[in-house]
Amino acid sequence: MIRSMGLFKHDIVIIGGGGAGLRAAIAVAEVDPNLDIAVVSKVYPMRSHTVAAEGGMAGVVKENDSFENHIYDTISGSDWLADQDAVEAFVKEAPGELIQLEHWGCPWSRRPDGKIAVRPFGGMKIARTWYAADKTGFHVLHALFQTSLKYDNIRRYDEWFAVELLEDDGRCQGVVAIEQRSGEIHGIAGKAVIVCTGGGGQVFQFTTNASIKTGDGMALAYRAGVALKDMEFVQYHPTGLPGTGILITEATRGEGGVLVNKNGRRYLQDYDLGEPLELTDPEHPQTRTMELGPRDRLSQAFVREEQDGNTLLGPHGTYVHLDIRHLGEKLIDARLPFVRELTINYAGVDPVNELIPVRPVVHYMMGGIDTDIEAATSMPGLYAAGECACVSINGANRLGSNSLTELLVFGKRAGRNAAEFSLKHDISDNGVLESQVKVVEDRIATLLNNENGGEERIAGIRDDMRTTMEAGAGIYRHEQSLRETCDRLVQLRDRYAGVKLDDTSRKHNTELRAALELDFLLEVAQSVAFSALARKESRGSHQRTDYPARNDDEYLKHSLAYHADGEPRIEYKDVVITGWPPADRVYGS
Amino acid sequence: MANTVVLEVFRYDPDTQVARMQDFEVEYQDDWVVLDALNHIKDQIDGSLSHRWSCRMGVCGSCGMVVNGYPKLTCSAFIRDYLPGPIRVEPLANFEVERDLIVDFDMFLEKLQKVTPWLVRDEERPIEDGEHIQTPAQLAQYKQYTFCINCMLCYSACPVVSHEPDFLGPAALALGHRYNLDSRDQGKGLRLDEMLSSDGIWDCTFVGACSDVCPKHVDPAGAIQQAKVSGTMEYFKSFLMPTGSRK
Amino acid sequence: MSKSSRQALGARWWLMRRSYFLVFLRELTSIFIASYLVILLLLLAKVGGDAGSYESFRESLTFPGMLVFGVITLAFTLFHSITFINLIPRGMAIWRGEERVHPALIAGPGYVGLVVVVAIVLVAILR
Repeated sequence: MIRSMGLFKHDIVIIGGGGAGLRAAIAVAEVDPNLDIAVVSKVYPMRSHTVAAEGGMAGVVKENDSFENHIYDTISGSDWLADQDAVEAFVKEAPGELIQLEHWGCPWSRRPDGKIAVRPFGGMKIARTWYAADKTGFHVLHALFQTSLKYDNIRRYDEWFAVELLEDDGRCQGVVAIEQRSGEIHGIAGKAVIVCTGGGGQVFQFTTNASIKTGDGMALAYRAGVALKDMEFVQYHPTGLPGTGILITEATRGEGGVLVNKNGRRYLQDYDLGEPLELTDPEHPQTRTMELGPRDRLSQAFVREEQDGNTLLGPHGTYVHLDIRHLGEKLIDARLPFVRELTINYAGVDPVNELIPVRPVVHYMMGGIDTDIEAATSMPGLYAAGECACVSINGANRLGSNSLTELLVFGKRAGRNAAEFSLKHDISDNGVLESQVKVVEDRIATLLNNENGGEERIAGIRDDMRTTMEAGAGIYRHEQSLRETCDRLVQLRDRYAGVKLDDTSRKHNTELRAALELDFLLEVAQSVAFSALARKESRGSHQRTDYPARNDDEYLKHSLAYHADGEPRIEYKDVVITGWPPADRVYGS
Repeated sequence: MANTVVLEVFRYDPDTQVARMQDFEVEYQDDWVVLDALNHIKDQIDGSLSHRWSCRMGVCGSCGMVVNGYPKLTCSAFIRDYLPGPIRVEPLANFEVERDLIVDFDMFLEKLQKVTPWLVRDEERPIEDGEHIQTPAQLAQYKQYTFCINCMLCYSACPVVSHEPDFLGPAALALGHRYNLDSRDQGKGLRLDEMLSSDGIWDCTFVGACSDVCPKHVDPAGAIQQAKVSGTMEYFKSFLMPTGSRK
Repeated sequence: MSKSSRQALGARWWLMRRSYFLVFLRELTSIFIASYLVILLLLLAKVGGDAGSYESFRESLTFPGMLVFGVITLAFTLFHSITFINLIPRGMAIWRGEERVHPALIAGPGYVGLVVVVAIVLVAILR
């Protein structure tokens, strides 16, 4: 029998060791070297999915750019659902964060004069995306991880799986986690807690996301009573490889790559994204035009092309072509070497002289744990940052290269605010937290003993959920498809109660972990589907064929999904508008 | 008629401390990698098989294992290259096995910490002063050594790691070298103390297997030999110019 | 935490792959070269001694066994030289702008140097 050996106590507990989590940890460590910080991650930090980001990180540093430009690009990109005070703060803090990362050793690509190089990116008027070849996320994560090793007061719990938040006195006070190596269950208590666990792309069948993106932190906060905001807004990245869903960065288009359909036509010109320039035109690629339009519009264009029969058909479904041949081998090897490696290995294609097969795949969740501009949730002591959080700066559609910046800006805000909170509060001393650990122990023991008497395999339920979401809550949605999806998810939740494990041991029980992740995934899936059903308009990445127009009168609001028995309760709150009154999104002019 | 291949998979039970090989017959698709087969086994045949994986695109470094005797990232090891099989899958060599295909990774993190793997500055540059200037040529000098994904295939291939467990090893030493070569860094002295120690670069006999297996072409063997040359020069410099501090 | 099982490469690691075996041979060359050096040193020592002992030592060097040893040592020495020269560029990063100088441009002079030195030695001995 596994017993809790008492709580591990820290000042700050951070769940998740990716870009946001590590940035938050460093921020706390720099506020006060006497603060004791725990970073609890189900994988070793350098495995976090930040590592797979490719294209770059946006921030205003060049003379030809301005905060106003970046703010407008982000707000219009969000289809006016972003909170404008948050966007203003984000844009203004971005440059300092990028420079800080450079000071921490990140190997940014450079101009000949030795200053930082920037590239154009989708939906942005001015080129402002800092990049490290096309492995920006990899370099950012390793720079942050290696920098975090400097601080003695950051204590890592590597391969500890968070199962439930600890709560007492109306405050979040830590997390119950399983040490995967031993299977022991412990409470890791903190005076403040920051959730940085990333998104939940694995609820869908085809995704760029790694297997670990199971929305754990979103579900943890959700079950603790915090709302998940704007969950219906799921971003399909326009260029993923068919089948595997492996990401082919937007940077391919930033450098001038183009999308062509079955007939060799640059079809985006038919979708209000402007006029194509000749590939040899020095103005190509034009910002906020054609292939540098926002991701939601590009993914939607693909679906319409598919409906018109203009897409190609392969063993993994329909696709179009991404053409970067005209960029030349030298530029590809200098700025897109990882893309070349990926397409050769996983698509059997050398992009220097062949076309890359691509299609939209789920990539990012704009929605997440409801936080304010200070990264604080409605639960005192609980903060959130990164993809798992929704401030919101991304609204209904995120611009590429804003997300990596978001990790730093809000990771730091969360760290600083959590540190301040921790100085004014203490961990409960009344045995309540210990008893919560015991409840989790009992729950896990029940799962491991297969006491529910069921016969369901995890993979069966999981695959069912993913195909259901892909079919019913994809790029284009409809009352009927969403209803069916919601009903099916409720059934899957019932089936989950009958899950049977082959592995009933404790040490490194990865099947138990998969079962717990599936539990979290089902929560996230329900919040997405029910929020989508409730929003009867089309905005950004949420497109309803039965409500095709944007409806600011009723829906210039964030959705808030609250955990309840059966199905989530959906409420709304207003979007914060400061200097940019709602207008039409215009691209291609 | 479905295509099937046999996987011979290493199993280790930490409770009984018993190791064995277990055969699985797996129906596969033409573009599958070994990782797909392992996941299939776990999902459909035996849920107790434990292995690490995440990104499935060769950048997170989680899925390193020994496939038919050679260290590989199983997400980049295509089944078609191993046909007709059987395909033997074992955990990385030279690491303690914790369970099945999962090894103790902490050994590497302890070694990494020793090479001071962060940018060291005498004085921090103020944020208002913007970025350090670093030309493309300066970046090129250390860029290759930044590619390490910490997958540990190199440690699995290195006979010195096998026989000298305290040897810092290819990846840690290559990362130390990466920072030494970074024009912004001022911490060479700190690092060389550890890198020139008895567990450092001098344990390396330039077998070169680490570079052979590295999926990211970091060439840690080259990094270590370069460190030997520059380390030796630093050593002699400190004799000839004893008043100059080692930077 | 329970005891776990470490899969070490083992004492026969050098038999596991062709590349390992070649490295092992490369390291083995040192034994032959060192032995040959010992013989040379003995020869030098004998030169300083009496004529009879020198003569008998020099004659022993013409025995078939010694000739075989000499040929094997020559082969190993050449193998060592080639592998060493080929590996020099890995340990020397010479840059021209953003590109590293091609390894052949570093190994090439190495071979030239080898040939020159051998030529000088041969000329000195055979004269």
